[in-house]
Amino acid sequence: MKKFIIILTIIAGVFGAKAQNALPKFTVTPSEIDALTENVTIVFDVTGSAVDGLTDVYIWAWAPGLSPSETLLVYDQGSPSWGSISQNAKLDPVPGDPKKFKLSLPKTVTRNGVQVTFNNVAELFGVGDTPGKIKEFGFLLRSQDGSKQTPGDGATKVTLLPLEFTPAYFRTFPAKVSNKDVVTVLLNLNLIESGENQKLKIAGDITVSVTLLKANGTEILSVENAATLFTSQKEYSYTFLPAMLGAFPAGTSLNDVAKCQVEFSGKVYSQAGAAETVQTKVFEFEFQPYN
Amino acid sequence: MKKIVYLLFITLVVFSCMPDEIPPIGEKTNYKPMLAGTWQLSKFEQIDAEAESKNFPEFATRKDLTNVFPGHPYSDFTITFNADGTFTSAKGNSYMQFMASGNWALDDEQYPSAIVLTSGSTSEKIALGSLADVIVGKVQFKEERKQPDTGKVKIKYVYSLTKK
Repeated sequence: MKKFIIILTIIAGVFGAKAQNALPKFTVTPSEIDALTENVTIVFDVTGSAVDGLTDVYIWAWAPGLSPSETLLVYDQGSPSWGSISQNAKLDPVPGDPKKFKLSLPKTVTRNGVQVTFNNVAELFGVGDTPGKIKEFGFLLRSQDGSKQTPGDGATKVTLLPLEFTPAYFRTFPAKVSNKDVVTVLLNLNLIESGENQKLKIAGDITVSVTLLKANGTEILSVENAATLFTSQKEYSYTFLPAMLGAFPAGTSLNDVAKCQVEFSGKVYSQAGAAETVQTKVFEFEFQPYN
Repeated sequence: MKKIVYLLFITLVVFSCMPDEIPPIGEKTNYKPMLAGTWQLSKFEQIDAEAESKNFPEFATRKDLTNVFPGHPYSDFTITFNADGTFTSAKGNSYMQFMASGNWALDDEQYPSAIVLTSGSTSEKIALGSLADVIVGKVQFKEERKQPDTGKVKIKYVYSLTKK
């Protein structure tokens, strides 16, 4: 009986700890922003996270590729320090909801005795003159002393719309689409990522498999090994209309289509003529609710 | 003599300040008879409005979809606007989604910016591009996809049609 209680206690402890480790949910308004978008509000729901129950919640945000990468909110002068976060990083409470906090732009703060207004994300990270440098930013929520924090492994991040065209290993055209639009997926093997099978660079007969999914990840329908076209930009492309991609199973319709997964395959031949199939990782994108 | 010069000067100033008579500019164009007839889609383009606004390169901004689906060319699509106010459309093998038949009218007879198609209780407004080329048998329809929360145009479709 004693053992049973100990096991129960351990299980409860593990699940309790896990519950407190939940990622904070967040909503960005407007839903699509770039580094120069003004009047942005991010609302954080800390329910079940490590900072659930705190009345003062701080944000620690960083943008990969910048130096220093941290937002100007977290330090007043010099360089950022985890142990002495600025009061400027304290999130505003959402009236009537103790588990919600928000960060609104424009935001006026005092840094090193000078009043500063941040109008957009680029200014938040000190790159207002070179906004193209910031493509996304990750964040975690924490207590002032840093003893409590949500995961800081990049699991919570805000991706920004690009300000200048950047060739990519994988992209869609248009960059964001709804499920009612014609969609083109493109693969640029000249920009193959390091984690991929490098044999793809010499692969031929590039085909693509496209899967339409519900919001919960359930597969609706898929097309396997469709032929691609090689474009003048040296990208492999495949164009489809979600509504015409295949027969929708009974009980499903285009309205259920929320996400899309794409995987490219190619063939590599040995000197003896044996063919080996090599595949890219699975790329996933969400459809937008355009009218 | 001096008085005559003054009088002449004043007369000249007064008459030069009178408004010119606006010359007649001709009859207003009646586009409805010009639109009547059968139109065939000659080009179908998709534009990423976000990329266009940021002046991205052409290949990242615009895509010609006319023949993008083998065996299903958008150029199969035709629409006939009859003089009696009815219309019929035929998509052929294309994936075009359009009302098959009904009534058509201009949203504004003098300064049209759209064709209004109705079929029973369903109504659809098709935005028109410039009507300058209607006289030479060319017209453009436009369609926009917007982000619901901002109303911002995200994707544009341009249908170029030629009169048969």
